[in-house]
Amino acid sequence: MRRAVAVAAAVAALLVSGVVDRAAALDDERAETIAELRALTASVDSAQRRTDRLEGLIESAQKDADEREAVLAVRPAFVDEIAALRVALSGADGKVDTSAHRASALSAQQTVLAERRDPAVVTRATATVHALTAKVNGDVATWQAAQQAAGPGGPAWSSSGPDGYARVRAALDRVGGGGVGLYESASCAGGNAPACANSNGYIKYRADIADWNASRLNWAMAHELAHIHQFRVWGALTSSSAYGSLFGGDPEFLANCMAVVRGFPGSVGCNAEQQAWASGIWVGAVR
Amino acid sequence: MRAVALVVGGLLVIGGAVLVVSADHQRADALAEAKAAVAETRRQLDAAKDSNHRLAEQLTTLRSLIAEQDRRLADTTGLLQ
Repeated sequence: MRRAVAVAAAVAALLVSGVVDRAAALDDERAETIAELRALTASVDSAQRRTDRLEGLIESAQKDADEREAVLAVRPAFVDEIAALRVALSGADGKVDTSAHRASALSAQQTVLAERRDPAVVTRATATVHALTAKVNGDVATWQAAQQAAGPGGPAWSSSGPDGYARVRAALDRVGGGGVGLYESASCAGGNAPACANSNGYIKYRADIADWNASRLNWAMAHELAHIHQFRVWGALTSSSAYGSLFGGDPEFLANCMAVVRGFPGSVGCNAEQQAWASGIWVGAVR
Repeated sequence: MRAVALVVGGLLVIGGAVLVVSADHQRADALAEAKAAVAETRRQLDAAKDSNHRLAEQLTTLRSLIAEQDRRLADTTGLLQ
């Protein structure tokens, strides 16, 4: 009996030892699994935060892209209006002062170039440029009507056209004849002279000189403007002995020398004394 | 008297054995539950990573589009100089 109890006790001790080992192994494995679960859960949380951040960035980027697309959609209309304005500005060259219109257009253009979000800004700039084009065209039409109506018994130009007239007019303005009337005519010396001055204070030009180069055209207008100034002192001039001795009483020679002292030499030479005397006529002084 | 002691002792041994087996089942169940949770969490992590990858590609595409739009917006072709 005692032996049986001893054997049973030994078996029981072995069993208890095995059970305790298994329990410890299960507990250890579970602890490791829980630790892994915690690490995975932290990774999932981190991934979720990144998802949220990415979604926020995408939403913002999509909004930016949509706004830019809307601005780009109205850009071609603006460019078309700028092209129309460029044509109008080109047509107004030498006729009306377009510097303010151009500055306004450049300002509107800068606004458009800087805009990224609101298509209405571009639309408004387009309307502004459209209005500027209409204003320039209107000013040119007014200028042309005024020029056409101003001639002595006829229009200011015929075959040279408004652009040709504007070129000759600009040359006359350039040499100091801003207030002097200018008209196209084929009547100068029966059509043989390219331009002539009238004692009533205006200048006529033949249509073809509108195609002359700038320096020749400037010289021609300086020469004719010199005649206008001669007419203003005509009595004193024709009775001046110096006029006779220095210029042989030739108003054309004097006009050439007057053009020289204004900086438009042409092809005729004048000496220093002739130039000094001729310069007085520009200010009404006959010595 | 001895017989009674044997019976009581036998019952105690059987009861103890039942308790030990029950505790072992509980430990095994808890471990299986934890492993299932790990598998589920790993699946969620993989799904989140896939999703983030797609979102990152989408964001890159949008940023490329915006860069191209900015280039077109800064283009001065046809404008006054």
